[in-house]
Amino acid sequence: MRRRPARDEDFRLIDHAAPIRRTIFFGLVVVLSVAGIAAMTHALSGDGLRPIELVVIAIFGINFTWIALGFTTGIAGTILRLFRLDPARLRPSPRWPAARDIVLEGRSIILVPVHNEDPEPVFARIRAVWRSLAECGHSESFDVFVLSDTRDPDIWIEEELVWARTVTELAAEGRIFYRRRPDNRERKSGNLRDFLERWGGAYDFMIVFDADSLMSGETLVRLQRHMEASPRAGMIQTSPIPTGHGTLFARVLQFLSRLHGPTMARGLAFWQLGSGNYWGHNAIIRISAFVACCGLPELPGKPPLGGPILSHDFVEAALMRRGGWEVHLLPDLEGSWEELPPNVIDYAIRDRRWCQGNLQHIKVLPGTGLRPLSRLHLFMGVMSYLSSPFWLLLLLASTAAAIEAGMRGVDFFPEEAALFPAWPLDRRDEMLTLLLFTLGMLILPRLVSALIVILRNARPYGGRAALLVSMPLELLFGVLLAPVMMLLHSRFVIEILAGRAVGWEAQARGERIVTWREALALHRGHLAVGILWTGIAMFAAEGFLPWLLPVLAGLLLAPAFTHLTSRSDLGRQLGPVPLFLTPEEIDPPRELRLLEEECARSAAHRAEADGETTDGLRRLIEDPVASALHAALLPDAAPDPRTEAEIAILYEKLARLGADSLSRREKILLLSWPVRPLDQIMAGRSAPDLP
Amino acid sequence: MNDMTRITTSEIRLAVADWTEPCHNVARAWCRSFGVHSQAAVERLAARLAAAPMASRSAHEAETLLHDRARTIIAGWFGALGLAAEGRDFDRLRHAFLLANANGALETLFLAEGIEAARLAPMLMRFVPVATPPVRGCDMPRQRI
Repeated sequence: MRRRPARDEDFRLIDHAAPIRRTIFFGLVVVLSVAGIAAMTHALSGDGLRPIELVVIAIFGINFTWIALGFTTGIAGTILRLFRLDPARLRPSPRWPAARDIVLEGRSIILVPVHNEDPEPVFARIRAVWRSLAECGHSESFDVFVLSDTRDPDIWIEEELVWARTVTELAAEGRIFYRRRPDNRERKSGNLRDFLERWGGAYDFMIVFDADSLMSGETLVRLQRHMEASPRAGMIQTSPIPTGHGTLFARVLQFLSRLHGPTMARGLAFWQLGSGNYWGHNAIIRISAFVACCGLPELPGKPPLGGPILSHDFVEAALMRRGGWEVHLLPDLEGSWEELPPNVIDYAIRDRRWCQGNLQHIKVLPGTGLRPLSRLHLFMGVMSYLSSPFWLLLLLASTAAAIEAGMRGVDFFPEEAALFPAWPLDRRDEMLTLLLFTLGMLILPRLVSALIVILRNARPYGGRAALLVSMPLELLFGVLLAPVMMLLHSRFVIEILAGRAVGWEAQARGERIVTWREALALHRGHLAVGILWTGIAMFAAEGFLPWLLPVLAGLLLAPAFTHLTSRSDLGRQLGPVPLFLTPEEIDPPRELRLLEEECARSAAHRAEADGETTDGLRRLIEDPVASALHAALLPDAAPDPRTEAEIAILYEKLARLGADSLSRREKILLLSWPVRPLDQIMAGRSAPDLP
Repeated sequence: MNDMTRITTSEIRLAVADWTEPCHNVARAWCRSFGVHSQAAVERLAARLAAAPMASRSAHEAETLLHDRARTIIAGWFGALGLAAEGRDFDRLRHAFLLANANGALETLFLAEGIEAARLAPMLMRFVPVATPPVRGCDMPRQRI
């Protein structure tokens, strides 16, 4: 089917017909949920409903509704993907012009907030994006700003040096900017706020990146063009594709996201229309709307649930909607990438942080004036973590119900003076049907996504055989991972509700093999739960054991799973069939190739500097260029007398005991003011030798 | 800059006649911090440092004074080129000079009098790091939830 070329009006994002399609969509969710709950009630009520079974039904109802929402979204997305329809207009998407043929009027800035990230990969991405923009002839419309919240002195100095090198290499003086914030107030949202309050007025739009974000010039240009054509749009979110890691864990998730992500994104865009959500990065934002509506307040109470809002993105989208602006998701816009944590441990650490942020939204949910769909997004964020304890409760309650039923035995005459026995009803078939139905709702959209690719063009995934073998293995991966994540999320939720706040550590992005020892340390509790649960089920509820097997297998195999999936040499091939391939691996897009080139240059630069000190303070003492650059980038201020005295003491310590004697805080304090060259630092030591 | 010389415990007094070596030491340090290794430039700066009258004082006070004076002399030289060198601008110009002089081409021009400002100033300005755009902020009111 030939697609027509895009017209000007195609760039305008629409929010039409929302009430009708949302009524149909959520009507289906309700019907499915009611049907599921009714089926469960019927299956359990063979010999009347006991209190424990009522608990099971209630928790099942919550979880099943959650699944129904995902399933209906997946089905909507599948239909749209199958017929290649634009999710908003329900018409075939037009053929978009090349970025070179698009005229832009406004100015955008790409914001890259960083916090203790390795600067080389961050700037390699920036260079790749910049080169991509230059290749499509639009680098004049975009600036880049690295907003550093780094608290590690060595990384701070490295950031400055890599920034300066990047600007020189790209001849981007006055176009690629860098600043480090002396304090980390309000973390990432405070970092962006600081930018807006000082420089935001110079730009029309901001495109927010994460440290691992990558976007093509074509995509950036089209995003801005959509913004310019849609005066009511406050945010446009792209659907970033995870890529870039080689561990088995990351490759399976990359494979699933690449295969099924476009389906889910289309489904979401179908019912969200202009009431979408913001995922914190790889999105364009209208600065005037953002500053007017999205100044985040502090939540009442103490952390972890009160205090500064951590997961700011959902709240900002809700506030944007409250201010009357539209928030769109553009699922058909490719050229937007991100990275996933490379192993279970790093994945869990990230989830711990996100869990706290999302649970804070419980306090935002009843906020005044928020749109119903904004509340739904916030609720979905909360549920993405709360659903785990609910699943756990459901499984525990089901086990308890099975044990109770086993201990109680069969009562043929539950009523006194009955003439005829009450024969027990065997409703295992019904239960099995319901279980299969539930699993089908979880799996079917994924299978259809794979089927669409298999029927259309499986080559970008390594061919049909590769897909047919990878899909069931991916399902097995999911089955083994789910119980562990269920227990981890449940623990996170309990910790947070008990008042344990999480710190702000940099996200681990590098690949590494998780040792058996580390895996056992993480999973020893899960292993114990698995053994205990298996024992109880075997002795007290033998008939229930087969139902629990997938959960128990996940728990008992968790250490092996975590160790093995952190390896990069596993899961690439099954006999002659390649596994978990994605289009980005087989034929990387131009931007990923540029990134590869830039990473190679970074590596070469690191190799050249091998043997030189990585201690930031020493670098400044030894290298006049680094020292001058650092001083040049500091704010124009003088220390107060108390700070000056403290600095003088630290220099004395430095002169006498060397840089290694200083703590991280002490180094940060010294680096917060211009650093003296070596001969001045040693002046005190050399003074007695003066004439 | 932080006054490092204050940390010394030395109370050795310098006689006026003893200033030659400290002047040279300070001049050499400052030239090195600009990437300049030419003896002529060191002599030029040392001569200007020594030119001003100095009273007898302790070694650490003398060092402080000389460093401050060296900075003032260099800032004055930038000023003569038409380049503002107050506050952090001084460090920006130092960085620019270091980059522009990476191959030693500007060695002989450092602190030289009567050089063509029109030639040197634009060259330095090209290398001045521009870390942030001009300030143009927005008012971002806090919302209530």
